[in-house]
Amino acid sequence: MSSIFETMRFTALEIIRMRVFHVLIAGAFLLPIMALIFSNLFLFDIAKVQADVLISGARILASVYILFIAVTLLGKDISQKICHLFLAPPLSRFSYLTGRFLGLLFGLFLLMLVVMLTSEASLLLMFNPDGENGRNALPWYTGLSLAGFTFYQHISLLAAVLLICTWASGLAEMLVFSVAILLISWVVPPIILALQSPDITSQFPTLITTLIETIGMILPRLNGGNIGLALAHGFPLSFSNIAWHLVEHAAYAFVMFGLAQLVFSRRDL
Amino acid sequence: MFEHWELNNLVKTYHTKKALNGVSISLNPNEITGLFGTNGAGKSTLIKCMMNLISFDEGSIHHNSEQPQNTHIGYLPELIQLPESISALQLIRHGLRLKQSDPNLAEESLTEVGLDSAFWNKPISTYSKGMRQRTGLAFALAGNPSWLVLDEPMSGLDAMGRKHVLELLKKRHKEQCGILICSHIVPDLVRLCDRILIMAAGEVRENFIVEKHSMEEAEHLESRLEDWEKLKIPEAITI
Repeated sequence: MSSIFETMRFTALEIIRMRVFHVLIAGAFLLPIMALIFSNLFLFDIAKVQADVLISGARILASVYILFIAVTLLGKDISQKICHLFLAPPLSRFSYLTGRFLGLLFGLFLLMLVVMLTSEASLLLMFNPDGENGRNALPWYTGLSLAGFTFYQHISLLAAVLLICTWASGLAEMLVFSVAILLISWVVPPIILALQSPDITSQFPTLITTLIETIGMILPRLNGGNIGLALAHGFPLSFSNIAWHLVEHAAYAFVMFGLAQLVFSRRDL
Repeated sequence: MFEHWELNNLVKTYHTKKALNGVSISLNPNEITGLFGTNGAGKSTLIKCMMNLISFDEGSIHHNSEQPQNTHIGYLPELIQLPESISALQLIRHGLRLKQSDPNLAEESLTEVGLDSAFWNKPISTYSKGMRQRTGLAFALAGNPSWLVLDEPMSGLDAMGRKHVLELLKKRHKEQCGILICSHIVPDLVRLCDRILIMAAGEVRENFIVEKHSMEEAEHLESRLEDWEKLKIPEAITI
């Protein structure tokens, strides 16, 4: 356990000292300003527009973190054989990969924490609930929940990238497959969701409907179905919707992480 | 706490080429063992098998230890690559924590390998090749490992640096640390080792006992390797 914690600590230290991470943190500070500029182009529902820009920005930052920090760090570790240095006894492969994953999660959490705080601060400062614009029915915790929600969703994507990096043979291959899974996770689930609406499914045979549902289960739903939209617009959310979404992502992350451990324990380094 | 390595009939195949063809050796911590051979002889593959970095097709590796869970092996890989964003001091402290040793001994390790203290807190991306090699060596030496497995430890070091490392390894051996060293630099091997294993075409061809640690022995060793290389037995290594 101590070796996992130590590897996590070291990974977090590596990430914090990376220039890309500094740029992302700067981006997290600039995000509310961008949201403010963009939202002022509109006449109505300014707070909602701002929340929309904030959640989009948080997702972009999280995706960039995964591509430019997680893939680069794991890719160099494996393809440039940096991991050889650490994998001498007493450190096991399991502890090493678990520590790396937890360290990367911690880095993502730090980034999202900055996004949370800056988003919440900007919403609080700009929109007085009793003022002329009000907060357009946005609750006080909108900024916190948007970034927290984005962080949680990206855990499953990070686990998928971990699997790719343990399986692929070079940094270029890892990047290509990671970009592919990122794009697919963004693009395909909304289409699948649309295809699952009762109006459309009634026109398909049962086999096609089942196939569409199966494809939908394979990919993590990064857009979060309607949850992201509901959060950004202050719509009510049912407990079952949130619980199902959380369980879905946790299960996905768990399966990807388990597969990554299995592949990493067997591959030649 | 001395430990023995027993390698029995190790076979490793890359696609169609046998990198190791039935290697059986016994490593005794009381002596410094050298691995010598041409490029592609199977030295690094053998070391990677020992460090569990690659799997092998046949054979077995036994590491006889009184307390296997506390076994610490200092390993220096060939063509060392280090994390770029952190400093040498942070890296060595990490290594010491992994080995459950006192992280405050990091300065001692870096001094021991002769890394300029002005660079201890600078990112590794600013280091020269020789400085990276010294940092890697400090990582391997940190925490008093019971065995040192070093793949080309002199790579990138100048003549003074090589001499310093040789003295350092001799000192560590006197402090009851087993050493396996792989190198292409014959005089260094002869000066340091008690026994040198000549590898050619994936097999250990000769067990050379170093007695005088002299230049004559180094020349003799080179001539023996040439003899083995002249045999040219591609049928035996290609399946």
